[in-house]
Amino acid sequence: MKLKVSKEKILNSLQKVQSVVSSRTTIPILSNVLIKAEKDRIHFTATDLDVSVIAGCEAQVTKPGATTLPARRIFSIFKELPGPDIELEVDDKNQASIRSGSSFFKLVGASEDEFPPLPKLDAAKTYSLDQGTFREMVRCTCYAASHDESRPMLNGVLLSFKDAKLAVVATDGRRMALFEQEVEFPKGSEGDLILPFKTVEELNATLQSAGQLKILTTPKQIAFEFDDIIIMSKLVEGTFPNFRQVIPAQAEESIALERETLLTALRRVSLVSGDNSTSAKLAFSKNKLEITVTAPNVGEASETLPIKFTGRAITIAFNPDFLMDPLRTLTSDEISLELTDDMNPGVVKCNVPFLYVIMPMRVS
Amino acid sequence: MATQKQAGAGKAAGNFFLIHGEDEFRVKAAARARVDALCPPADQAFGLEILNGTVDNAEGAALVLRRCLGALRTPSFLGGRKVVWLQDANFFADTNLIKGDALKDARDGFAQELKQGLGDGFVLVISAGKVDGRTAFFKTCKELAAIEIFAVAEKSYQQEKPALEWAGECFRKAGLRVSGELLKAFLDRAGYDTRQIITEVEKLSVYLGARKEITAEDIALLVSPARESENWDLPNAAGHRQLQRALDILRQLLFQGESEVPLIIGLENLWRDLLILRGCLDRGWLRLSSDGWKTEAQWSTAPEVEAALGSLDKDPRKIHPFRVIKLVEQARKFSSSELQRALAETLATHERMVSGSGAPDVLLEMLLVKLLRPTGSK
Repeated sequence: MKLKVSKEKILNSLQKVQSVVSSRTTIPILSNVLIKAEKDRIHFTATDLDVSVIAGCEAQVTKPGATTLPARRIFSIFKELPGPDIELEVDDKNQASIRSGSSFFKLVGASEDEFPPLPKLDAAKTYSLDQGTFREMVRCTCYAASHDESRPMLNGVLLSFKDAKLAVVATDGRRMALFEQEVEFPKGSEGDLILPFKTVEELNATLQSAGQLKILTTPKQIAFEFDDIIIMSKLVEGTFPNFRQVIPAQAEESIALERETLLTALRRVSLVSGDNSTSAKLAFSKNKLEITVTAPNVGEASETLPIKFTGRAITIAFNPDFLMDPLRTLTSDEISLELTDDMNPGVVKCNVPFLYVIMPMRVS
Repeated sequence: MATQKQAGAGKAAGNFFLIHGEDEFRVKAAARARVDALCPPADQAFGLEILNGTVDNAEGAALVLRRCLGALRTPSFLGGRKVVWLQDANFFADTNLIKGDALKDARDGFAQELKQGLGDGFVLVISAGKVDGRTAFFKTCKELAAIEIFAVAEKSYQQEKPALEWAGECFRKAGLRVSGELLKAFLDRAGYDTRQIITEVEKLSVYLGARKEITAEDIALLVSPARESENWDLPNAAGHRQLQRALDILRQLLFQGESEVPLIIGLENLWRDLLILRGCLDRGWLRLSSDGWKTEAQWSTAPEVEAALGSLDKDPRKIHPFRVIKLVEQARKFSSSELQRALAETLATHERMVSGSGAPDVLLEMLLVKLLRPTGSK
């Protein structure tokens, strides 16, 4: 294999596959990145056997071929090379020679045959979406996923393709985030897919705000193709609980609140909490919201916000972190908080098809 | 492996359960059964919250307790019952690893919260290892919770009976038949750990297929020797004239790193004790009486008995009655002359061992074969 490539382009591609390379793997080949050169392109593949990422860039390939090289080491070397272009040559024994400007490196690699083959997505269902929209849907919901390993279905994010809509849902049993958008897909492609959290993190790190996204799925695997990247992942097996039954049918009060103002106030008062057993008490009265946090052995904090509210007075307590999570990711100026009483869930809505159900906390 | 149940007020309310003990397998199984009964698997996605209670330090423990309180203050998504399971908690015992004021405060605070009540629809299940009975937390549990204890007896001789019951139950559940003698042989290899027992039974069940009768060969072939032998296992086997068992135990003890000299001293002590007790039995100075429930060792109070036994360095009447009963069982398997010969052979082997006239392990094996071979074999 012999090629010449721009340093900037190769670093950009390598950066995209780095995150799935584990430094503590018990299978040494998984510390390597598979490099394939063909025609005028070079492709990099990294995998941890659950998630695989393929990224590519243009290159002047004089001799096609493939090899594997230690991922973190070559990234560090390429980053430090002095010239704008890099020449890479790999011999039959998988020894790589790297030249750039006045620098020369020789690295020992391993054969491409040792690298685990990627899953084949034959007869896959296909969906096409706007990349930016999907990124927003994932970003606005993924924080609500559970980290409790005993409930693997809740450890990921649900993609539910039904009734010409895609619903992206995450829940940990105490709150649920749902983002729903109309998308076009064939009638026979309806179905639920649960993405593992690691895949969601990869998507968050690599999806861009514009461009097309193609999703291919089989019953056990999923692939996301966009720009020069393919992310392949196993799907979580199991059935996601019926999230629609969690959404309250109606609420007695809908209160409009300035998102940024509420977030800032919550951030300030939660400085005295520090763990998720402490609640923030929200007391709504005529045109006023008073937020109070009382932490035993620590202290107390309160904030008063002017709001437009003329309904009946309601006092309800929420985990402040859970209430701040959607406020951090949404971008609209105003949100609405729908409440019924202190023991029924609150619902956060805004001007996009997003919905966040949050359970109140009992105040002892 | 003893199971004990205690009922606090929570038993009546059915909303607070503490399942604990060193028998980790049965604690886990009982807690899982309790949780599944309280919250059917179909409802567990939103009706059950599990918190992992295995921590490395006091700060971690305090954090878990605060999280548990957070879970107990947040109702279920769908209304109705919410079960919070604090699983595998390792910080309720008195250990040096997880100790400190932060933990004590957190535990006391947790107990205080529990005293205030869990709130309608909330159920708390705690599964833990050992729980320190002196803590305010445990006292609160005694007051409020339904408690199940799966303790493991400290002494190995106390562990045998419940292990036999458990192994018998496991074989019955697996549909396998095993005799009492083979059940003991099974435990001799598998040990008394409940998880190990069930694993070995499952292994046998898979191996046997349609066959349901367990044989000694099946046990020897399949059951992994997991139990650590104790030094006294060797004299016990020798006293019962069990040659194969004695050889197995000897090899196991040597594998565990025991040296030969203490083992041969153990055998010398055995023959001396048995010789004296055999003599006492033959002279009618000692007899065992049983009312069908309890066996007792009865010593003659005749003056000549006092004179003969009182003058010995080790008066057999001062041996614990339980041990006397066990030794008498063994002494009855030998004649006095056999015991005299056994003692003489053992002392001679001991001498050869320390004088370097042979490999100590081989000398010990040969001694056992010589003393315990079936009568009539050469």
